[in-house]
Amino acid sequence: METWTPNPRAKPFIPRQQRSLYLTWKYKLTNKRTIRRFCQASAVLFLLITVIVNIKLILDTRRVASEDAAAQEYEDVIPNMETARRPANGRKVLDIEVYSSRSKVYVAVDGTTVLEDDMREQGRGIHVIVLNQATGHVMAKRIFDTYSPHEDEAMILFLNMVTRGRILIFTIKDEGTFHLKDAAKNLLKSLGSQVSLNLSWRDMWTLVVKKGGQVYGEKHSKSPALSTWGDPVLLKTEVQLTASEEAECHWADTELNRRRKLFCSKVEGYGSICSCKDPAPVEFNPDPLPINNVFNVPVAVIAGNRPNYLYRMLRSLLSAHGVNPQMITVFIDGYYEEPMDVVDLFGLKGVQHTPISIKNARVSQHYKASLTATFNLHPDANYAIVLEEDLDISIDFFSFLSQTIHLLDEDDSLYCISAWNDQGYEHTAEDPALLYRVESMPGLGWVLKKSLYKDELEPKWPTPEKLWDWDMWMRMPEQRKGRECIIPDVSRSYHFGIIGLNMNGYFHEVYFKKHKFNTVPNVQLKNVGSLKKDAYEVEIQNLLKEAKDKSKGWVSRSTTDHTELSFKKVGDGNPLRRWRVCVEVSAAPAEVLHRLLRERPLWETELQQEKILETLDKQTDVYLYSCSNMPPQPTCEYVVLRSWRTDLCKGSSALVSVSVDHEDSPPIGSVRGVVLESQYLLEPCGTGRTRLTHICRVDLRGRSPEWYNKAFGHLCVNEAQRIRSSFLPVDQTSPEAKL
Amino acid sequence: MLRVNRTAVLALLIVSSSVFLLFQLHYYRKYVSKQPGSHIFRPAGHLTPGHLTASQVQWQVVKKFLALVQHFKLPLFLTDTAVLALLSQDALRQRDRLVREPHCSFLCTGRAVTSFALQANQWKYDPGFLLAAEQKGFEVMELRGVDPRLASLDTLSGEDIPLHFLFRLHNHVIQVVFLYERSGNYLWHGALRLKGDADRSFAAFKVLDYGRYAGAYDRPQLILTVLDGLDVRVPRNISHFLAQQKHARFLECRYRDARNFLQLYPDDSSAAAVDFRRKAKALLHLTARTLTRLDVPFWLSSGTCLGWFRQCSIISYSRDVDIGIFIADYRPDIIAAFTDAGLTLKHKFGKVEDSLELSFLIEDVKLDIFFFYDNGDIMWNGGTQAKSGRKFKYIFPRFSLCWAELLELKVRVPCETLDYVTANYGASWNIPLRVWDWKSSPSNVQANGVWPVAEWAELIQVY
Repeated sequence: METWTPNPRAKPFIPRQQRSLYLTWKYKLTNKRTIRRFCQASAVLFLLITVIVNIKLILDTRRVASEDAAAQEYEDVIPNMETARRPANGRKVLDIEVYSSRSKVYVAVDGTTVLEDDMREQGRGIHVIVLNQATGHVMAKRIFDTYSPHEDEAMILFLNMVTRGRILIFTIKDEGTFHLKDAAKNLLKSLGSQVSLNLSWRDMWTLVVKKGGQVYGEKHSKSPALSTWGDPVLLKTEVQLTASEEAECHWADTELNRRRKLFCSKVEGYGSICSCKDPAPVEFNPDPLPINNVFNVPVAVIAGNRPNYLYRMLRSLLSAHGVNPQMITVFIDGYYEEPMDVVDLFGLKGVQHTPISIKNARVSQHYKASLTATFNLHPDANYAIVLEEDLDISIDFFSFLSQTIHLLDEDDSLYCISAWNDQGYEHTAEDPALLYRVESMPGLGWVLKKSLYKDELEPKWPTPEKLWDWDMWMRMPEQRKGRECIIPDVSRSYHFGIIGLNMNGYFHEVYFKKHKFNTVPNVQLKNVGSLKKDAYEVEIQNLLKEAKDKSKGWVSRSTTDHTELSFKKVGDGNPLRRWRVCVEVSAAPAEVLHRLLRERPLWETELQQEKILETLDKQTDVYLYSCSNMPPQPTCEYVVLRSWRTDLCKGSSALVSVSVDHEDSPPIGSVRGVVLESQYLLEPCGTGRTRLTHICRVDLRGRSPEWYNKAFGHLCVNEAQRIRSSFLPVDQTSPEAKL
Repeated sequence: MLRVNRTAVLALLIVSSSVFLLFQLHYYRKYVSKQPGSHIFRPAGHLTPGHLTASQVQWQVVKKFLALVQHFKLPLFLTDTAVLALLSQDALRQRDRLVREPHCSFLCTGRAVTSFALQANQWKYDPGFLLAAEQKGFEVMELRGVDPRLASLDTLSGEDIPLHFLFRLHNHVIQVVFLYERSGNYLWHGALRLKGDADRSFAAFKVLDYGRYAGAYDRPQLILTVLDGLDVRVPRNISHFLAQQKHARFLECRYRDARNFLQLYPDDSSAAAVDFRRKAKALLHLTARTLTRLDVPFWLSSGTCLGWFRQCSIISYSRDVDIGIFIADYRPDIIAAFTDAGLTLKHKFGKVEDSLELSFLIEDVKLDIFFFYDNGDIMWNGGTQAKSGRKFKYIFPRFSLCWAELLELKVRVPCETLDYVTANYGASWNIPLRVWDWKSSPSNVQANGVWPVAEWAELIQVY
């Protein structure tokens, strides 16, 4: 290009007439060769420069573009959640519509339906809605089925908990007055209701009122006859909103109170936590444990939409000694707001889970997701503590686990450690320091080993289409594989939930209510070492052997009222049998001993006379007593040597008596009986309770052997029961007296 | 006529190129020069006039920051690549480096950013720390993101977790990267993504060492050291850490797609399938242990890669575990290492120069190791049919390696997983195929001749 040579084969130039002036001038120039050459060369040069600059610019632009692309990678690609918050409109009035009828209720606030219930066979009773008086937000929704008994009490409790100034909306669906007692009606009246006292069978009723303030509206329609319902009522009213400052308390500005404030502005029905003057604590600061082996064990709280339960549960959990709130995660099955509010109130971590499947399978899928997430969140953890939202947690829950958790590592035959004893009833469980192994998976607060979950359970966890209970599945032999769980004698958890998938009030009443719950802190467990498989086997065998020896030769007789009676033949030539009575007494062994020794009149109804003839030492005396018998039998008199001990093992006491002759007791007019044997053994069983065993062989003189075989045992039972009743409060008549 | 044309064309060209030049000049002034941080006509690496003082500023800022960190007991360690590079063995060996500042020979890199990492599980999140930093004059930017530890085939959602802190003082930025423990026994940090309302000029995000992508790291051993008069913890093995940093990019499994897939094709939950998955998991863990000990990088290939990509687990009917290794990383003691680990060699096809393939067996699960050859534009691995000696070639577009998690294990996968899987299984990889012929089903298979019969004994070893 640099050297431009004219084309030799070019056609000669022929000027044309229509050529323009410019071209004519140019043509003249081209004829001047040197100038033409120069122009051409400079043009080419210019073009070259343009090309170079162009290339440079393209390169630079590309570099910048690629940097731009790199910068683009830092942009958040996920579209932001639209923050379309309703602008704080100047309106300060809420339009409220409330409808009450046999088959449908609804409540609309500013045109938004906040409650609608037209399901058949559901939602009977009084629906209550609480609105925030400053924002108009729904803070609580409850149904009280006041057609059924005791629901009105729950309603009174709830209404009393609602903060003053809140707006309350009431509406009845179907029937809500059958068990609405006067106390509840009076409370409604004090809230401002005009008609509450006259509410009766199948009436329809709506009420909008400010607690401790004005009534915004009330409508009522009477049922004309027993078999028909009142006409539907629709109440339309307006509520003036107040300034937000008035709706809030003035707590000190701390992190805790900020959480409290947020919580209290959103929900209602949690009692004193939102009290302005003296709010219940949000942080509990329980004592740490001196040695805590479970401080870094994650705690998974499995929850659904029962925020009140969750609140109670978390309170007890956060009050337990040695708790580490950092490790607690609450897994909520569904995107419910209120449980999340409770979790936030306590400053814990909450995770919501999109529900999968239905009924039992839904619970089971939620468990799986929660357990998987727990081990994902804490990859270093070897165990997880699994709790549910309807459990009370014992104060020494973590202490109990801290003392036992090493067993899971040391003993392959263990499946779990559970805080719950299915057999731990009030009348059976007594020793908080005692542990067992059981061939089951009790659940209700338990420890799961990661390897068990990851290697065995997770891969074959029931799939969503299987409507199985996760706990039933875990108890199946295919999963449990003969392994056992450690449980305490006295449960460290208490199941308080009354509503639930497999739960109702009746079942709760007859089963869970009678279970014992440990309230003693820092219990030192006693047989932890002997819980490993082999040691435990040996101990069980010993216990069985011991029990066999103890009961050898004893024949038991049926009795009534929690008393055990048995007899044994004695091969000493005397035909009298040895009788044994066992009964539990609500008093400490020392008290019982005192009653036996010094307070005979309190339980021996036929006592005529008693006297200590001689005191031999502090724990031995000679004692005379006489009892009247039913005529014609004469009064019978005994002189016995009594000896007692109070420092036997485990706090037991014993009293042994045997007939003796004594110089200070010359024969009087009555018959002298012979106490061949009388031994009282008083063992503690639970706090303030004693197991009284009386082994007794007495010759009353003047009865047939047949009588002794048939009746004497029951006299012994009678005596033991009298001792027991003597400890009952005076206003409680003994069961015997009732019979 | 032609001559006139030439001149005219020339003139036309000049005019148009002048116009074009003017336009370019205008474009440059209007758009390019306004881009922050890009200096087209400035030589690269140009130092600002106040550079020396900038170093001092850097030291001051880091010092102030570390004092704050100490007060709040943040478990922090230095991860700045520039500083660590100065500290690494190689750099220390050649100490003839010009010492710019006598009192600040490491921390004053002259860069606008210094980065640290924070072990998140060792620190209880304390908003007081950020407040205190603000009081000390730092401008703070906190970047949060979803918690990947909750990501699974279930849909769980928790609170967003903090991923990065950026502190700015005197135009120097300190980046704190949160490292979270993940269940594959590794540390993870999230990608730095700016929300819509974030300040895009807070820092030169492009020069940050961390945050372009999510990353995965082994848990480093830390030592406390004194750098330029400041107490800092640094990784014990710095060059190892820096090597990791270069290839730390982490890919999260696409759980949402996997969920959709599993809804269409539910997982086989029969006892046999559960048993296979258990065995495959054990084999994968064993493989990772063995190869890590040999320092041989590997990645999930074929069916195992598809399993990760499509359903975040192992395909229960695949009956084997497939991994890939670059032939450059081949070591003769691989076979011995696997045999020592309890596997038996099932067959060995090909040679190091061509189509090498190893196959091991443990219990009844097969481990196939394909060696990949780099052919410039493409990468390929070979296959051999034992009875006929026919060779096959499986061709993949070039790929690099990323970390991922499968069955509580940190493993590598091709970063361009979709391309890789599509190359191997075609566009319909999303539809399960139970019948699969390795010689004809893959969409990237090519016949590659036949091994010479004379070499069969050497090249086709079946045990």
